[in-house]
Amino acid sequence: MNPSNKIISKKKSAFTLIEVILSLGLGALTLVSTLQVMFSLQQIWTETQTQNAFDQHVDGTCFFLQFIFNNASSSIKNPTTEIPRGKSKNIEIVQPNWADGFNDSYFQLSIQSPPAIFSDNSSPLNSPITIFFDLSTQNGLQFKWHSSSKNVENILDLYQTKISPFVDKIDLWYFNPEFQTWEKEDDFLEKNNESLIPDFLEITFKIKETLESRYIYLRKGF
Amino acid sequence: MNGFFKKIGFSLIEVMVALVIFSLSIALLTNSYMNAVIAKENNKNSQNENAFIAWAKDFITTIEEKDKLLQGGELTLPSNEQIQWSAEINETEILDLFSLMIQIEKVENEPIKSALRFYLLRPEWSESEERKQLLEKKKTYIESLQQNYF
Repeated sequence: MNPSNKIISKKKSAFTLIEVILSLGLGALTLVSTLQVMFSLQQIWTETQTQNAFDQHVDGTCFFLQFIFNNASSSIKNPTTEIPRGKSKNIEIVQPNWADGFNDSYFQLSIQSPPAIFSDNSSPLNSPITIFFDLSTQNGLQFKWHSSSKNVENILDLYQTKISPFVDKIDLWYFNPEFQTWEKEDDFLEKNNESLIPDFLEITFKIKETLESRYIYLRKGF
Repeated sequence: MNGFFKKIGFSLIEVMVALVIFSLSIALLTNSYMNAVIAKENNKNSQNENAFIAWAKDFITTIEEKDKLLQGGELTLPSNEQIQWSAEINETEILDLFSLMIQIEKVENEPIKSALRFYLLRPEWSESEERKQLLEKKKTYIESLQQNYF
């Protein structure tokens, strides 16, 4: 080892106080900013996951509702002897005798081949069912239903299936073909003592402060 | 000794190349992320748009006058957006059956843009002369079939 090398190794043998303080300061700053970024990322990730799950729930529920409305047929008591007529309504608004106070209006529709969500004592149904639901959303959206062949006199004779706990509001949209304008209502419009079927249902879903609205088209006959 | 000092840090070129590669990857990642976000938003709107298109189609097909259909028009949606529609009617080989092509476009924002083709049975649209010609054509066709068969 020559003398010049010795000097170099001595010079690099330790850090000065300034260097140590500076590196500690930089290290602390880096740590703080990294933690901050990590926390923000974690928060964004959690929120995004919740939002994604909520969006998927909203999409799924509306897809299901649109399917139910598109596949609704007129309320046929006995499908083997009665054939749906061309101009019959596939969705009706009724005041069933089992409803509280007889004043509640319900959507009524029949499904010939009900999806598996409607099951009787844990076995899927293969026979037509009649579904009812109203515009109240205190407990989210739920369907009341029974087998179409069954005579219902009491509300206890009906099954209840919760469709979505996040449904916050159901609004009805009516199209006025004369003026080509839309009217938004929170209850059914009436004409000649008969409730009118809206063109769209606007279903608002709510989770925390997030609101999502979807439109369901009600085709009024076939 | 000189060689040892040379390898202690990166050269300017190395740092610049690394930075360029890094920024390119960030740009690509951001682009993919933004595309995914836009696709998700579009998907969110597509459910409503499908419902609006189904309603518009049903509304348009309730128009009975041929001239009114050919004129096209505008419709307001519950979301307060406006759509523009136009229709094209073509005769088919079958008597009184018409093919109707409807094009629907949103007036302001994308992406509602839909073209639907379907068939309508409209005896009132058939003009007497054309109807007569079609009937004549069918009659000749059936007669030629009968001649070949017997």
